[in-house]
Amino acid sequence: MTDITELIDIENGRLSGKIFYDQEIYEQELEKVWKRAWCMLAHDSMIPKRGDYLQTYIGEDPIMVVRQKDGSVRAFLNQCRHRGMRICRADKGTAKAFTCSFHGWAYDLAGDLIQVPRQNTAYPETFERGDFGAVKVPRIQYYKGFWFGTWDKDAPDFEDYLGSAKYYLDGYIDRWDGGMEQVAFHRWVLPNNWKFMAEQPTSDMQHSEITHISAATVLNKGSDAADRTLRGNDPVGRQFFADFGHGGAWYGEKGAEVPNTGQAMQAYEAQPEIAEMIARRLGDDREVRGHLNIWPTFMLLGNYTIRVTHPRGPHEQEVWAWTFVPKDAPEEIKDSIRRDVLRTFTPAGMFEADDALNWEEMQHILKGKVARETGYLYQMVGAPIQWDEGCYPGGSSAHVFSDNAAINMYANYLDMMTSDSWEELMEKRAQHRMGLPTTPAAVQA
Amino acid sequence: MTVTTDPTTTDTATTAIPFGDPDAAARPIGATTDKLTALLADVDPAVERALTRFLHEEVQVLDDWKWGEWLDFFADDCLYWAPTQEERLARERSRHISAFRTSAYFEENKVQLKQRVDRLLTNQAWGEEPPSRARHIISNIRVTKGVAEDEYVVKSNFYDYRSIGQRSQDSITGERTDRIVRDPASPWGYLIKERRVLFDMSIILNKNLSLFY
Repeated sequence: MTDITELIDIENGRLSGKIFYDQEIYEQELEKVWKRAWCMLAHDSMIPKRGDYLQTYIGEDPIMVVRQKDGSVRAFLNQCRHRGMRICRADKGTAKAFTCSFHGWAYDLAGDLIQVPRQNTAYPETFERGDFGAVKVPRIQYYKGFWFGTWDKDAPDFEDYLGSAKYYLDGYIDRWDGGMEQVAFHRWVLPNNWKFMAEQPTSDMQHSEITHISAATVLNKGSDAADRTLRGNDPVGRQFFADFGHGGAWYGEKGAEVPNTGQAMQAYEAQPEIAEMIARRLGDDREVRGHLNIWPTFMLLGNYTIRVTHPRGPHEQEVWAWTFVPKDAPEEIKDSIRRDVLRTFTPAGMFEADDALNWEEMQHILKGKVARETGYLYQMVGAPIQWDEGCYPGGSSAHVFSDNAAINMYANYLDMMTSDSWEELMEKRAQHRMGLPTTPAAVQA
Repeated sequence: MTVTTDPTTTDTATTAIPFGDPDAAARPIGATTDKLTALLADVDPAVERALTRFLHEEVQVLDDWKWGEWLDFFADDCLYWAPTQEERLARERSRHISAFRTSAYFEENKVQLKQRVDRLLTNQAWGEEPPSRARHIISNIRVTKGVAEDEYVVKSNFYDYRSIGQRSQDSITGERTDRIVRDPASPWGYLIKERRVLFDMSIILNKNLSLFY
């Protein structure tokens, strides 16, 4: 096991490039991060009817998520217990059972083994199908339309895992009496370490004014995509972070309108009955959309692109991105959100295209021995860290640009990678709250 | 994001590609009934030759990074659409390709295409700066008569290669279905009213789709 305590210097805001490159560290992440964290599996609208299923991943492990006959949702490893074949090879669909294409072992909607060809004649009487159901995701929790799963039986409940990030997540997903629905889906592959992208919605609003300058330049004046980038001259806003590595940032001040979804959506939200509904659900002082990442990679952007990235070795990741809309909104509002996302944050999106280039180059440069050891800087303060300031739970800074949430993400990462249990991890996280007067200046793992 | 015009909303069909004559290949032409003769008789050979050259000229303009000239190939009320695909079982095969106005990589009108062109011309579109070397290869061009007068449905296959940076390269294949109309007033004499680009990948294995297809 690699000791990564030498590679992450929280106090001085320095990281070694090795954490983005090293294969051994990556294997450790699969064990310590991906087998332990809560991961988003599905949304109700992706599997609305009984028998509906989709394939997704927790880390590198393929997962079947299936709507049961009683309306509940279960998840299990998409791997046949016989010889390890993928049980289901379709992305999604509706099924009564799943049959492995290798030797025909069949599993029901819950992942229980229901049929083994030639069981009666070729297997011993002691063979019990009940012993060989697909490996279940042991813990699944439902939160406001979304289903989350973790392999770790000792993980805190999902809401405790969210911690102060719950307040900010609700700002995206809990605004609407009728809930939300997924209307579009995009997947693509990026040749870089998964943490580069995770870090961005957690913390990095600043890249926008450089990386995305071309898109902001050509988009219509008054459009949100242009505005949110060009507002860099007057970066009023706030960045927050939560204990288990979550973070986010947004432009604007408390009570200010947060125009994150284009003018059509702004006008819709400004309608008295809609504004009243949002205020009733969230409170009057909630204005917290922008970027948000729930560690490790459940990402929400202000224009309702919601995504999960799946790691594919230290040098590659898959982006799975859905477009969400308020279910009860008029069709033209839903359509404006959908088109905004497809033109900005899909593989052909004018914003996304330029992010990809940066990350690919950063990854490639890490092949160099000197480059890998040079280290990265995370020293932008923005504004002093405050805890539970006013209406903002968690740690936050009254400045939209800062590295605080990023370095908090890596502090959590360090603690996860060096803890053998959730209990140990939670103790470390409690001690390592950045910016508190009682916190030791340096994080000693 | 706001757009100033939005012709894409004028189409209410479930698919954006309702055009073309599906029975063209089966239609008897005089005494001759073999399929190939029928297909060839469907479209004036001079038109077929013109449209083939039209598409070859178009991709040359793309490969030369003459983005402004590329827009001349498209009608002002054009639709440039690229749906996504998913892995679906054969019994759900009709759902492989996303329906119009659901998941798409592109769903552009002329104004929006021009925005994308203008972005590449800012010299700050880092995904293509320094510019990539791209090669569009078009083949399997098949011209059939469209539904309207002077309208043609042209199917073609493409292989697009891109070399970018010192070592990065990617390629993508797919099918284009174009609805092209005769318009003597246009620079090329024809205009693309509608293009559907169907990429063959279900997960795009390229880091981005920052060019045109």
